[in-house]
Amino acid sequence: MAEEFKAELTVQSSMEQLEKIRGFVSKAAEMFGFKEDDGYKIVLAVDEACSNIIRHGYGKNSDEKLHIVIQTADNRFTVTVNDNGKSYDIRTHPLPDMDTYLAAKRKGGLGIKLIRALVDEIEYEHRNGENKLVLVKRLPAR
Amino acid sequence: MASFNASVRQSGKTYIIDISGDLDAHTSIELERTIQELIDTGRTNIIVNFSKLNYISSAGLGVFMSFIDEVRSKGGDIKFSNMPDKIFQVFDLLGFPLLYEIYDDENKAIEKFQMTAS
Repeated sequence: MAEEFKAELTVQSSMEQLEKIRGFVSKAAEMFGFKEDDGYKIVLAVDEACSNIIRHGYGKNSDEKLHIVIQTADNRFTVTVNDNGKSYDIRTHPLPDMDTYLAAKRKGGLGIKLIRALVDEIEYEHRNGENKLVLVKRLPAR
Repeated sequence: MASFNASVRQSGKTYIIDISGDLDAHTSIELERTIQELIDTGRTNIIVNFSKLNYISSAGLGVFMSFIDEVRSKGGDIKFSNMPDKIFQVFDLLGFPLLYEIYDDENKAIEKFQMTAS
């Protein structure tokens, strides 16, 4: 069985903090027992979620905060990202059809598609001005 | 700033950008600047060598997306080479191999540019 633990990180809402966020998630993913491939996937999903919050939720205002909690239980690696920015439910975001998207050669909008491809479960809640995004990745059965 | 570096080498009429470190929403601005400078000076045969890249997010992919039309309309191309598996898997997830030529060896990409020119 994978190791059970809880870890927390609070950072300023700045793109400069993405490296720190990735380091935090990567270390926990390794401790949990993810192989490099799956570790990369959960790190990327959290990076995309946090970049979106910084860019769109907070409109690049770096005075705000992101609070990230990692909790593991059984085979589940759960990352919760809390912020107080603009509310947005990525589960309802229309995904671009990739043929049309590639033909149009748009620059943005790929992050949410990646998140949805990289994790097993996504939950989102907006309550009392706070957004809570939960990303779950399961340890593959051996 | 996260550790990211982009440096340009020349091989004949082809320009190779070696990228290393982490390419994310913060550091992608540097790559944007490097490609823009090449285009502004008429250097549009571009190869991006990924051998030393540790990490890429969608912001990095977005940079290639934003320049590809302009580069091709000027008769050039952006080709990719030496991509580590974990980086390729991100490109693959989004269908990028349909839009870009990806070579396991930089020299093959250089040859392709030479073939197109002759």
